[in-house]
This record gives sequence, C-alpha cells and structure tokens, in this order.
Amino acid sequence: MRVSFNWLKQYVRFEFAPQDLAHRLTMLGLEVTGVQAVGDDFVFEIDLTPNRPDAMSHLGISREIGALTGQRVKRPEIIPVGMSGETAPLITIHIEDEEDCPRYAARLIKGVTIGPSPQWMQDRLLAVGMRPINNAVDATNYVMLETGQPLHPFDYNRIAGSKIVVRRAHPGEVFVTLDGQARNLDSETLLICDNQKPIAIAGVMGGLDSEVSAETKDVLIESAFFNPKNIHRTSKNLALSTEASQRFERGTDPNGVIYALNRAAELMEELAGGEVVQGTIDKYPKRIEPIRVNLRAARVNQLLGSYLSEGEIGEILQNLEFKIEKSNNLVVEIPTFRPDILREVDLIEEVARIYGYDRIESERTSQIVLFHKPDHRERLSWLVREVLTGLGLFEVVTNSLTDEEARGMVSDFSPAVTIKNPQSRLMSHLRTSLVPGLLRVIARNQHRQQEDIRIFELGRVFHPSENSSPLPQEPTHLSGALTGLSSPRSWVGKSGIISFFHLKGLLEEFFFKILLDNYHFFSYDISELDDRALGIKTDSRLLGYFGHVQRRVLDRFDIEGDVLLFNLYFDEILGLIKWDRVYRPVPQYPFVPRDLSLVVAEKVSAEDLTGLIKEKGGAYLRSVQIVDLYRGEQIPRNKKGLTFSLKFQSQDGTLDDQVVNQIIEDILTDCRTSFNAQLRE
Amino acid sequence: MEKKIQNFKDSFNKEIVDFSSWNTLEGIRIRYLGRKGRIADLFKQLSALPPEKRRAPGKSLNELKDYIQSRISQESNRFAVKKEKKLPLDTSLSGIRQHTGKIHPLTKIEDEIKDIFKRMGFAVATGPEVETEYYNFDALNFPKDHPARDMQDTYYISDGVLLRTHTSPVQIRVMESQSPPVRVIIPGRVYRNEAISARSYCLFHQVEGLYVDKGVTFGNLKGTLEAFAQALFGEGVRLRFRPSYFPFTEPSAEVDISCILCQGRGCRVCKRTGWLEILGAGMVDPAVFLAVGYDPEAISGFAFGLGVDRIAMLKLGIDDIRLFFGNDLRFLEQF
Repeated sequence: MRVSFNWLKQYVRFEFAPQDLAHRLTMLGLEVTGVQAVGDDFVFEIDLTPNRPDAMSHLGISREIGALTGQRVKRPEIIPVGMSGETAPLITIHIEDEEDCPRYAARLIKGVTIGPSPQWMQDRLLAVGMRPINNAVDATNYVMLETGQPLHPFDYNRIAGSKIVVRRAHPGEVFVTLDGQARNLDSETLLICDNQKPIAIAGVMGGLDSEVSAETKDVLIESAFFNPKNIHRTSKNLALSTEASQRFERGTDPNGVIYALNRAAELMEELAGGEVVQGTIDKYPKRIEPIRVNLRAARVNQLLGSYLSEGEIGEILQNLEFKIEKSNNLVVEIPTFRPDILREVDLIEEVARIYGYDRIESERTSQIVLFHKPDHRERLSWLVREVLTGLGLFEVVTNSLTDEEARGMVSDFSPAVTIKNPQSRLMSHLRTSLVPGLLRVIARNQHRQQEDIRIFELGRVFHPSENSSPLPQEPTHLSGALTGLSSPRSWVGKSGIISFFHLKGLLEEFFFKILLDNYHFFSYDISELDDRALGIKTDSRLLGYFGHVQRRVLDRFDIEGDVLLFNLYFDEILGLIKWDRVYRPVPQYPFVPRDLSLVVAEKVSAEDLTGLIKEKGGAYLRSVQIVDLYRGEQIPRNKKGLTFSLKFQSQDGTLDDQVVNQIIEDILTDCRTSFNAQLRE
Repeated sequence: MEKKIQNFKDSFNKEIVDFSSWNTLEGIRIRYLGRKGRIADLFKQLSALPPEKRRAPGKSLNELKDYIQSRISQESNRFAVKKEKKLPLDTSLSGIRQHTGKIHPLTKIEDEIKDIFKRMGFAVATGPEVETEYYNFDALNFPKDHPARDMQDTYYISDGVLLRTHTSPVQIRVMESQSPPVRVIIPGRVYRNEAISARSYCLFHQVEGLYVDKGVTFGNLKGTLEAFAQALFGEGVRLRFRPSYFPFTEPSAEVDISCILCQGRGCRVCKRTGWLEILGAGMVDPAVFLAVGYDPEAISGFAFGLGVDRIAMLKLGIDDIRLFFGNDLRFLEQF
C-alpha cells in the first residue's frame, strides 16, 4: 500500500522527517519498504500484514503515528452541503443475505457534471498509485484511501426499478465486471442487483452497465460492510483482487460506513457539482457492538518480561482509541475498526508494539531442559555424510519435485504422490527415488566438462500410504552415483575407470565405518542396473542394492561412460546399528599365516568358498582375504585359481603348527567335496 | 669336501665382483643361499658323512655361509646407495591424492545452526513434509477464508493434504506427544508454490525453534535469538525486533540483523537499509496451546523460524538460490 507523507500531515501533527517516519512506522509493524520523493511530497510503500485492515488508510496510519506521539487524529469534519429533497422514495434497499452483508447504506447526488478531477486530486491519487478516472469515481477512491472504507458509485438512472437487492448469485450466473470481463459466478458469490440484474460483485468490482460515465447525471454512492470471509472467497475464486476486496476481506469498520458515505457525498458535490439528496438509506438490521476484553497488567509483564504500570498500559491503549474502564483489572473496549483484537494476548501485543519491542530487555540467561533422548537418526545422518565424503563423494541436494518421465526411467514403478496444482509438469510428482535426481546431476556436470563425478544424497522419498493414513510414507534413502576414474590422475601412473569392485569395496568400507556387520551380498535383479547387480541384506532386511546402470537408462539422461550406482535404505540401516560396542580383547599372541591356492570351476562363487572356509576355520580363524585371482595356462580352461590368505590366532597362546595344519586339511577336504576344489601346486 | 667348499668360495668371489642389477645380485643370493642353493646342498652332503668326519668341514661350511651372507649384504647396501644417487627425488612433484568429497553447503550451514541451538539445550525433532491442512494451518490458528492463508502459496496433494509451507506443524506434533517443558528445534524441507527464480525456489530449508515452560517471556526470546545471531554471524552483530503478524504467535516479530556485509551502513544486499531480515518469531499464541491441550494460563513459550537457504546465501555471499540445487561440482568443491 502507498501512503503520502503530506496527506498524513492533514490528520496528525508530527515533526518526523520522511526517513525517520519510515523507520518509526516499520518499528510499529507497518513495514516501510521504500520511500520515494514525488514533487514536494514523499510516498511510502508499506508492506502491511493481513491482520491490519485498520491501517489500510491515511487516517489509520495517522492513528498509529498519534499513538506514538500521544495525540488523537483529526478527522475532517463533514459540513452538510446543499441538501434537498428526500432519498427514501427514490431508492429502496433489500438485503437477502444478512450474514454476508450486515450493513448496506447509500446516498444519492443529483445533477452532477462528470468530468476530470481538479489537478490536486489527480496528483494525490497518482502519487499513491491510483489512476484518476473522473470526479465522481475519484471522490469515492479518495475517501477510501482516507478512511479505509471502500465506496462504489453507481449511475442512478441505470438502476432498474430504483431498487438495490443484495443476494447470492444463482449457480452458473454470468456477470460482466467493469474491466470488461465476463465472470462465471458460483452460488457463494454475493451480488449487488437492481430490480432485474446484477450491477456489482459485492465488495470486489462493479459492473460495466452501471458504471459512472460522462452521461451520468445522478450518482448513487454505496457504502457497506460485507462479511470478510465471503469477500475473500470470492476474490480468490475469481482470482480478482481489487483495492476494495483487499480491504473488505481483511475486515472494514461496520460503524465507519456512514462517516465515509457522508464524506464522499460532500466531496463529490464539491468536485462534480449537483446536490446531495437529503437523508441516508441505512440497512443495518443487527448493530455490531464493540467487544470488551479484560487485561491484567501482571499478565502483560509476565509475557513480555517488562515492568509496565497499569497507568502506562492504559495510556498506550487510549492513544490507539481503545476505551478503558477500570475495575479490578483493565476492561478495554475494542473499537470496531480493530477486528484483529479479540483477546487479552492481542492487547498485550498492542502494548508491546507501541511501547517498542526494542525497549523490552533481553534475557541473557535461560532455563534449559536437561534431558533429551539420544538422537540416533541425527547421529547416523552426520556419520554417513562424514564417511561418504571421506570416501570421496560429494553431497548433493536435489529437488523433491520431479516429473513422471524421470520417475519412469528408473525401476521404481511404485505409484507417486502427485501435486494437484503444480507450477509445471516438470514438478508435478514427489520423488519415489533419489536416483533420477542423481543421474541428472551427473549429466549436468558432464555437460560442464567434469569427468570424475562421485556424488551422494541423503533425503526423503515419498510413497502413497498403504493404510488408512491420509499422509504418504516418507522413507529416507541414501543413494550415490559414481563415474570416471577410480583415483585422480597423477604422475605415478594411469588410474583406471572406476569398477564394480571399487564401489563394492567403498560400500564395505562404509559399513565398516558405521559399525554394521552381518550383512551379505546376493545377486539382485533390478531393471535400471545390469545383470551384475548385487543386493545387500541381513537375515531379515534388505538394506539396498548397487551395480552398473544400464546403458539405455544412461542414454535417456544423456550420460556418457559407465555409471555405478548404489541405493541404500537409511531407515533399515539405522534400525540395525548397535551403537553400544563391547570391547573384544586385542590378541596378544602372534598369528599363523597360511596361503591357500584353490582351483575351482568358474561358476563357483568366491563368496561361497570364503563362507565355507570361514565355517571350517573355526574359532581360530581370524581373517580370510582373497589375494589373487588367476586364469590362464597353468590351470584348465573354465577354471579359476583363487588364493586365500588366512590368519589363525588364539587368545590363549601361540598356535601350534600342527593344529593349524589340521584345520587347513579339514578346510581342503570340505572344499573338495562341496566345490570340487583342487589345491593348486 | 673342503675342496668343494673352496671351489664355491672362488666361484662366488668371481660372480660377486660385477653384477649389473639388483636382479643379478638376488640371483646370486638364491644360487648360494637359497633353500635349494649350493650351501644347502653342501649341508645335505655334510649330513650324509659319519658324525666324526663332519666337524672340520662343518666349520668351514659355516664360515663360507657367513662370508657369503656378509658379502651379499655389503654389495646390496652399496648398490642401494648407488641406486639412490642415480635417481634423485624431485620433492616438488605433486602429492598422490585420493578422491575427496565435501558436504553440501546447505547441510553445513544447517548443521552450524543446529549446533548453536543444541549448545543452548534444544533437542532436534522432525516431522512429515506432506502434511494435513490441520497441522499446517488450522492448529496453528490460521483462520479459514482469511488472507493469512494466502501469505504462503501452497502445493496441494488432495483435499486437506498439502506440502508443508513451514516446519511449524511439527511444533504441534511435538506438543501433542509430550507435556511441557518443551525445548526443540525442527529442521526440514518446506515448499512454496512460487515460480523459480534467483531469489526463490519451490522448496527451501527451515529451522524452527520452540520453547515452552513456565514463565517464558518475550525477553527470553530476544536473548535467545541475539545469542544465536552473535554465535552465527559474530559478536558485533546487532538485532532488531519489529512487530509483525503470524497467526500462531502473539506478539509476533520479524527479526533483522545488522547487515553483515556493510555493518549496517547500507549496501546493495541490505537494500541500503542496513538491516537484513533473517527470521520470524513470537510468543506462542494461546490458541495453539489450546489446540494441543496445554493450559495457556499455566505456561508460555516462544517460537521462531529461519530460512537456512537465506542464511547460507548471506554467509557465503551467494546471490542465486538455484546454485544450491544445481550441484555443479565446481560450486560444491568450494565449501
């Protein structure tokens, strides 16, 4: 909203320079976002919060200044001018919907000459951003900017039957507003009608037909109070926000209707000539009375941490035109132009606002709550980030809003949660997987000449609820994608393209760091990965999967080269981690090493073989490592040679060679029977 | 036997005089000292002799073994020295590096913020990003059919279900699940249905704070936020509280910090005002307490909410919010 500095001076005395006033208004909660010099005037741009309809006028802002300086505003006095005749026989008003229109008043001015407003009026309207139309319309706009009460002038002679009816629209009713647009109305829209047809959408915009024009001779001015909720709904439904609707939907003063009406009539007569017809039609079936609210000074200080006396509190409120009655506590009568004040706490805010937030002293110490449950989710989230960045991955943060195609490109075919009112098709679904986002980041970086791209994201994905809950499930996933060289190029030697086993090793390091063991890998079938993919699980839970992304998927994302991908279910992992570890004694006796080279058929899996060795190795077997894989002339075709490095150790003493030899014999026997393994000479 | 020993010594002496490489030296070692080498062979032969004849040749053989060992180790040391001299080390070559990643700047700043509040005794709580209208608006005292609901452009999923526009609904969830005192911060993603530009994105990250106890005052709120801002932006930073409106707090405040770029003198970033708006705050509205079954006469509390993305932009001097979500490695590697 725009406010003129000179205009304010008409209603309240103050000595503040424009910049100083801007600062003071901001500190009152009327945020001034800009001050602009216009001629000899200054125009303030004020960003009003939606709870302050009372401040949407120059008188309203003046009242706030008055509260600061301890004065009352001077409203222009209305001098009755040239009244003649009698309004009552010339117009009848009928309110059908009293809930949405508690008050409707009107006055008639006969014999006006429509023309441009005088320069001073045009300048003033232009300064605050309102286009001058003609003297009649300008007069009503001026009074709205002065008092906050929107007014509407009708061409009296176009009101059929000299009758105003306030009613709801019929379903499907169409009305052409004065901007020339045909509007489809629903049955909640409140209309101002004449005997035959609608002439305005109440509180929002008038109609083209009844608009004041150059030919208009007699003007009927409307001043009304409409139910704010109704006007808000209509303005929103029609996507039509006007100076009038912005005021009505926030709540105008039902008891300020007549003052504004008379002021407009007087001003119109002054600008456009003619004569105001005697008498006002005022339909106000149920008078809206000011409410009373109790206020305890102790409560004010308790909530604010201030030390204000009852006297100081009362004075602040009186300066805001609240009426104070004193009994045990303060009883405050709230003027009807402040519909936002309903409770004691609302008054406390008023006191704090005028007293000044900056004058309330800061407490530098505080009570704190001592006990909080350990937060393992926070802890693991942080650990995961530290570990993966340590392993050479960059954390990324991607949009959770995505499109259907991106979702379809990866295997997660589960239905998505969709947005009813998306900004665009590209952001119409909630992500069901982090993978498409990661692949996009890879593509984007590749297009910017990056080759080694190693990224991960820790974030939520969304799956429609499987039970009766209206809310979807929001599991947290931890996904990563890697492409490029396995280690940075250097002078030492050429490093190779990152391989499946680099990623497998990286995940093993990851689990090692977060203290998760007892998991195993198994062959896993998922359409975005090729047939080498592995799943990761414990006895009961699937923790995730990893492997090479299929070429056709990479092509759709426009990615060059191989990409390795992992997708882990964070919540599952979180549930498995044992945070409390118990120490295992560090071995005191030397270990006995043994290498075992076995030749087995290609189809025998190293993991199965390792498993058997571990099983047979018993309690003394400390570790098994595969240290060599051989295929070639020294062994038959379709066979491979695997060398296992075993370490045996006891907690109780140095192991005897013979004990170890016996274990090795047992292992060999079992490997022969189970896998037809041969010892390689 | 003795003769054989002498022959080996002679041939060894001949071989050890010149060798061209490490491999040759190693070959000599294996030939003489290896498990199946000449010395071992002689020892085998020695053991075949009757015990009384073993003594003298045994001694000579041991002497030969010691001699060969010491010569080889001599040569190998000499060779090693020679080798070092041949290949001087250029220490100015770059170190051999591994791939290293970095944590995203938004996560870093969010963690910095969380850390400050954790030190002040706040616990961390979280809640769903897809929320009901009840938690996002109704329970937070947003009147139905009021412009207050239009302050936040909302993405709707279905009737009564939406993408949360702030982390405040988690306030309600936390208070519903426990009785006072409550002292939590709530980090998380929130969504606004706005066109994407340099200054706004369809989602951003908030940290909400809530403290409810007996006798919590507006003065406590001011002190807490001042301490926070000084910890995050430096002790010289000043705070300005000005009245504002949020349906779920009363009194409500908009909180500005003195511009960290121009120290409040006025610059482009603070639009010449000297102040930067960084958070919204206020005393918890009694209507919110009633919605969760707390007695507003018995307790009071404050709440605040700040935008991580905005603070990260200010702290890192970033002028386009989309950089956070573009994840250009040349951007990410800077933090």
